[in-house]
Amino acid sequence: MLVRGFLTGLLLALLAALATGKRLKDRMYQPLITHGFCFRRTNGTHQFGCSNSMGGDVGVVHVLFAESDLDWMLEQGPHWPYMAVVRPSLFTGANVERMKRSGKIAGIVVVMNEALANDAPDGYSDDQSCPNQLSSLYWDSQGQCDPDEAPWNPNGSGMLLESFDFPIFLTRHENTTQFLLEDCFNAFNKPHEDGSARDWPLCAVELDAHMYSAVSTETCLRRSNLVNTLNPVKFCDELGDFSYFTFLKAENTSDPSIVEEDQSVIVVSSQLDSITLFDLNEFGADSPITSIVALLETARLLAVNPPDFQGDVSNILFSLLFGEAFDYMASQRLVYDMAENQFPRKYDAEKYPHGQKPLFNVTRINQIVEIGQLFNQKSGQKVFAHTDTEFQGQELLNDLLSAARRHQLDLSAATVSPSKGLPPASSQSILKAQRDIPAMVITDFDDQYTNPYYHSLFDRPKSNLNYDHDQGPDQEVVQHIGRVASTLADYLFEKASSSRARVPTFQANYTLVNELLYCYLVKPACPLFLAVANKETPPFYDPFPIDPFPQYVGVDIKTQFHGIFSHHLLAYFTGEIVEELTNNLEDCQAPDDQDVFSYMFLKGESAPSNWTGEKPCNESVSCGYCFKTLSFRKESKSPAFVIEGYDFKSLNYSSWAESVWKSVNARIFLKGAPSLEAGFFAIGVIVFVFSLVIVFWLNRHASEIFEPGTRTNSTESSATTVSTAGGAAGRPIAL
Amino acid sequence: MTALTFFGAALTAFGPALSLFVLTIAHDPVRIIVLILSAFFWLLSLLFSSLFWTAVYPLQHVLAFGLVFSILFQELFRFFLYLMLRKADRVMRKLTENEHTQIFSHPHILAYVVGLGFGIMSGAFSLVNVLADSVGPGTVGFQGESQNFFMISASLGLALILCHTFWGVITFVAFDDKKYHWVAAVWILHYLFSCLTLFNPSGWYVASVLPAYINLGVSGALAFSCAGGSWSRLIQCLPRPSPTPA
Repeated sequence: MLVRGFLTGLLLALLAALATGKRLKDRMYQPLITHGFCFRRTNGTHQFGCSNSMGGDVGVVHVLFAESDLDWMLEQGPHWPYMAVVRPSLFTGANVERMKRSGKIAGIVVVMNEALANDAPDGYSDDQSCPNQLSSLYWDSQGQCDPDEAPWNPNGSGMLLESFDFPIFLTRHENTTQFLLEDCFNAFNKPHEDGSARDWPLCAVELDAHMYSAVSTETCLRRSNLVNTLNPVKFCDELGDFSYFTFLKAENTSDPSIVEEDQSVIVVSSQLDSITLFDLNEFGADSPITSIVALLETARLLAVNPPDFQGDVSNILFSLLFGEAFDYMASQRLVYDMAENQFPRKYDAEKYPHGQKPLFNVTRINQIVEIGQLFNQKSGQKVFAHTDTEFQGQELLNDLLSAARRHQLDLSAATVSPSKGLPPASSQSILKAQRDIPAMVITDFDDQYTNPYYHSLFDRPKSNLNYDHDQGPDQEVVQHIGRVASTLADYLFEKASSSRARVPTFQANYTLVNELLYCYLVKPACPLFLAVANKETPPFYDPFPIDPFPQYVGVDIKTQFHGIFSHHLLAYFTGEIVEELTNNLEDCQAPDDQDVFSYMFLKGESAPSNWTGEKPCNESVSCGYCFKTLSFRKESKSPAFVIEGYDFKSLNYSSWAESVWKSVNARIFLKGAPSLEAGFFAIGVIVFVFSLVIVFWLNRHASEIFEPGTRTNSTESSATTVSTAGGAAGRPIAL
Repeated sequence: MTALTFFGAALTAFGPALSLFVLTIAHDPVRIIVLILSAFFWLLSLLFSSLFWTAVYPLQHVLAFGLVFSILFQELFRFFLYLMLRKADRVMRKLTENEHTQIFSHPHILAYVVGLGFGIMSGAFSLVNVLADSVGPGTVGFQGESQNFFMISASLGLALILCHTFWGVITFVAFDDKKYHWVAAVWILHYLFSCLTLFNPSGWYVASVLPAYINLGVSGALAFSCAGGSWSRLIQCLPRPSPTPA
């Protein structure tokens, strides 16, 4: 380092070419600070997403702020390949498809700084118009979604299921955006008034996010497993995380080996994840946060006022399924685990002599109540209950509708259900295993999504939900989610209680709903997330990020904080405090000879009164409460990766994997004129050849041109040599 | 793509030095050794000037300061090298008695080889960063730099290499003949050359390149006469329409 310092300093002095004392490289290259990029994913048979050639792709910048810019670039621009710098509203499926087909594109940079943050197209979704179609219950049968005729997601661009051989990056960085638009494009590249292109030098961008994986998950896993002990290379990671569950009532069977087929458990579920084209930008509001918040609030309401479970229903299972955006991965795994008798856990009498949760399979399910997208500006406060084409539970639906009426919730039965069946929902996976389970999916749409920005960058709280934390609990979205939660609590209580039980007045805690939305959608370092923090989460494990936690399911080797916090909230709302273990992090361990409940140490919303530690409570990881909880987690990785010798070409299970990448680089620089460069090369060659000729000539005539040396101690020999011009070595005397 | 710029600049800056090396040095192992020795002495001067630069902390950001002392060290080390070679002269002649070399019997050749060694090393160090960056894919210009930046740097490097060669010849002859005003002339020329490059950051390339080549011409002429060159014989040797037998 020191030596390098010396040299650099001296070079500066000698060359004196750098006024600012910065390296020349730093003046030539501006970093393009990115906030996500499109990367490659594979499923069992195909590859999707983006990759680029090794070392990155370079293109001349052209800013697309109007459709006409796109026309100019593709039809008139002479300097292709171009790097398209696109405002969000022009980043639509059609435009990208056009650029892709033209072959004149080296890559795309989507600029989304403060000014362009809400520059959304009228409706746009990265996902397909028929999400998860191949895994649908209705694939190839009645109710199948038709992309051309009234699909569920009419704004679906299908961008997530395209393969691009150029990179696509996203930047929100203010200075980078300014530099790209002003110092780069306007200063060097903007075509003249008459539409003719500017001359070199032109501003260019290099993007590099080279992906290791290719072709399909099967290929990539095979390559990764090739025996190569010297240099093991991993090409892709399987997608997967954990799904989180909780029972409302503790169950401990004397003989868990027997699976009761009593159809007595109500499953309440919601999807936990979302997806966009850009890594780390999965901040979905309508999908999935509205449904997660409604589920958590329902669970909380019922934990406070639990039903007596004296009727047909013996328990309620709340489930948050992580990975549903990828062909119902999590629910497929749930059904698979149930079928394999390993849900909630394999029966192990030796390990758990004091009991474990009874085995659970689809035959125990009484009915499914699934919460889908619940609110956006277009949907307003209308919600719909969707049912399968073969739905056999009309009275359940009627009870649900009347519960909704009691809570002033505008809920009606979806008009398309008899013919079209369920919209994309986790219930489809369960119904695949057992079609006669009554399943109701509550969503904010009837025959097609009202959410204009399903699975896209624009499904944001302000623009899509009109949500603003400062507006307090009275705002529309909070009230609406609260009403859904209290309706569901009411309905579930009624179903799970004996006929004698008096139904309490369920009233959602709107302040809490508002806080939950704030945590999930705006600021993760919020009071509620802080209340459910422990040593495995921020702020103790890592600092909180500024942006919300991404909701992407991610690869199996990493557990997402989005899921962890959801789990903690579930435990926090439904668990009970073990008083004697308050402020006792070390001993907050449930007895390990049972698998009925577990303990979880959480900070709590207010500091325990008897905290005596040196640090203030909010800074200490061991200040907090010990919660006894029935919640648990189960791996959500697809069964395709669990089953030995699974045939990836079959469509039975989701088989998504994410490519590995090593480095991601993006930089802005000027590209010189090719003709000038050729000129430089020519000059260099001429100088070299010319110098060869001159030196040769001088060397040959040296003895004639130069006097012999005059120094006393060498006169003699010089004179001799010169006199015998031609030299001892048979050569003329050299210069 | 921009590898073209790299080769253009590299050939411009080092092409002449390469020609000189191939045609006048490469055939004689002793010359090669002396060339490397001289390059090593330039590196020593660099080492000492960097130590000095590091020591004088408050002036580290003043380019002119580093420049002044770097030149001082270079010229001092040229002198040290002269002293060393003179001290070793007799031994070297003995050692190379059985070689075909003429270097120790021809002081001008020795001076030329030493000068070229200095020049090549100095040129390499002043250009290595620029050449590395010329590979691309980008070029300069965001702050209004000239598109010819790399070629200008290369041509300055070329002038620097040749100047060092000439200065080497002049210095050695001057010390031999005790004509110390020639040594002073070399120092002045060296300072002039380098100080004028201080204009480069402002983009006044004419102010540095043109004087550099005038400087080169003057240095060349001086070295020519110091080495006992004769203008009339040079002109005689020029190819003529009707060649006269030499």
